[in-house]
Amino acid sequence: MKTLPRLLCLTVLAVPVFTGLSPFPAGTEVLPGLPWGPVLYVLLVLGGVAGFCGRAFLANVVAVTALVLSSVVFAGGLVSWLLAMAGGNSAGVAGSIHGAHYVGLALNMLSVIPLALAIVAAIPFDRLEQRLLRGTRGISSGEKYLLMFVRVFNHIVYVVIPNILEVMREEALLRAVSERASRPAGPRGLGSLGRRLTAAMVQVGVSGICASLRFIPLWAREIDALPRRLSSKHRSRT
Amino acid sequence: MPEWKHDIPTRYFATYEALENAFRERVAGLVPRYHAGTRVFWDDFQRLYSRSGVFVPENGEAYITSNPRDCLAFGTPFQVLQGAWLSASRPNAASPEDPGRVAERFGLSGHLHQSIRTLSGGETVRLALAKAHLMAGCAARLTVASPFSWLSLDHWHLFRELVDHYRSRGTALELFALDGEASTLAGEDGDEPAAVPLRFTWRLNALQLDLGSLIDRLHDRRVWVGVAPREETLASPCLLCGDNGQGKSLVAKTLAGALAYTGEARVEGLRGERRVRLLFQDVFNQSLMRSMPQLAPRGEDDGVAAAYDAIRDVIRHRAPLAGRTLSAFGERRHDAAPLSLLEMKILLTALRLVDHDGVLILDEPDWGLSRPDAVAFVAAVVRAAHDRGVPVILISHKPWWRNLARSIRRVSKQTVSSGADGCLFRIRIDADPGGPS
Repeated sequence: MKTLPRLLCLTVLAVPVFTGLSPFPAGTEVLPGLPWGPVLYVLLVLGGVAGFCGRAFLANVVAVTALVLSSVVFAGGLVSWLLAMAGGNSAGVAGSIHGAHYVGLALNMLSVIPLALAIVAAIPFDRLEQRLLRGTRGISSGEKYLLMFVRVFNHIVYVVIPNILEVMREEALLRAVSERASRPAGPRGLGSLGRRLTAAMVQVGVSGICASLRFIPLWAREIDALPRRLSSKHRSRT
Repeated sequence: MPEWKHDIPTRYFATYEALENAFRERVAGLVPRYHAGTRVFWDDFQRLYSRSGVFVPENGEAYITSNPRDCLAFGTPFQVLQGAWLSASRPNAASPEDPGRVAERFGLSGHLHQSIRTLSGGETVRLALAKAHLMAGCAARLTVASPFSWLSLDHWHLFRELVDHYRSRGTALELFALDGEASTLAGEDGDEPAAVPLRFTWRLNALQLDLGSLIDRLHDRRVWVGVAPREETLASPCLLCGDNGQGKSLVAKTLAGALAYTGEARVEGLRGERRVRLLFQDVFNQSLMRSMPQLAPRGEDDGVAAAYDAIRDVIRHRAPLAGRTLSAFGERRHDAAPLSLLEMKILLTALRLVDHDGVLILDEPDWGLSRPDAVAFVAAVVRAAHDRGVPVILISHKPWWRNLARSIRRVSKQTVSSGADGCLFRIRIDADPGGPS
């Protein structure tokens, strides 16, 4: 599929979720407080992302979404549930107070995150970067900002993430975790696994952020050194 | 000691850390550094923040970093050269040479619109030289970090051309190098046989590497590398040699499972088909910023200490200068202070050896080390690995290991097609004409 049609299709698919309009009637409830409409929309979005960007891409964005969901939505739900329990409610009642809200939130993120990632990935940033330095009379300050943004984005996508994946593959970090998880373990073993997994993810995250930022001063200097575009033809090549 | 002959002012350093610190001072603290922790990162940030506004790029330094890729700020060679041309152009002054002509002079005409991440090591080196050539128009001085670690003899004439260009303009230039870095001596280890002769078999069959990312596929761009089939039994240590950018590291990463591939890439040592482990050239990336306690969080009696200390003892014996700075594992184990490059290499190697993996690969083991330290480190690792029945593959374009190696293979890469829409390469591995089989 060509870039522009893909971008248009993804944008049309994203209109409901970013405007709060639902293309489907709410209908009956799948779970208490959760109607069919949002569920169908999530399925439509995931199917659309798979269709426009490929199943491999969908698998990756769903994995990223799951990571965000587990830390933001489920942790939020857990805190809310504990607060309700502390207020003297039984476990079941405490769960029903905000349960539907958090399930709805999870569904919303299941459509927002894959769509946002798909739209960003569909924009050909590297080609955009190549167009910015074609002139021979310098560049405008707006182009400098855009150049810096595109540079950082491309560096993260094409250098930082592949480098980290190479290290994780070589060290079999994920395989070690999955093998450990498949073994029967008591609550203490699960706790230890959880702590190790969390520590590893934090380490990968911090390392990724630092690797992303590492070159910014260098690029800032180089991009800042580019001359402002001149109105007259001072810079014609000899 | 035979070495590259030159008359360029050169400052020599005993360690990578000392060289990088001096280089950072020289180019006003703006080069990327390999952060060894949040504290180091924060200190860097504070230093930059407090010095912002001090820089005067118009009269700045032209430079090439110790990893030439780090000084290329844009996405394609065309942009890098165009950016350098724009920066070097001054109103009411003669324009610098046309970027297209400079690209041709440095053999980059066919790669101008290829993404920098798909350039080979040799192409990257030539691009860094071409950029420095254009920057001569505005630079007050050129500083080059660790040139003999990334320059191969094939690129020496281009480097000389760059030097002559700066000299003809009366612009100063200086090299920062590690002790012994310029040596072309094959190594004094020929009369020191491996403790235990070891052999291993490798089998590469229908091997194809897809170096593109998911986003590349979305935009119909692919970077494919095909590897010619090969199956043979080799003696350890085996040296995979070849010029800059011939695909040595790609072969190593494939054998170690760090790259996704289709086809067969298997290595079988004495202990059968166990995992192949790789020590990356850029071992800083491999550490993921972890400290000693995070990298070695195992029990007290797991063998890591013994392997670490065995390697350290040989280094202390063969390179006393570096050895003096190496603490024993027990003294360092709970110390979260940043690891030096040499400590990191020793620790990661020790961790791989205690797992008794099938084969250990050292990618450019000399990277960031002075010659005495590199020779001592490799000799120590080969001895420790052979004692544990683990064969070793060395990857390097330097001649330092030719006497140590018991088998040598040469890697060469051919570009089938390259451009903005993707690249196709083919890699061959052949017997080295002058080396042991």
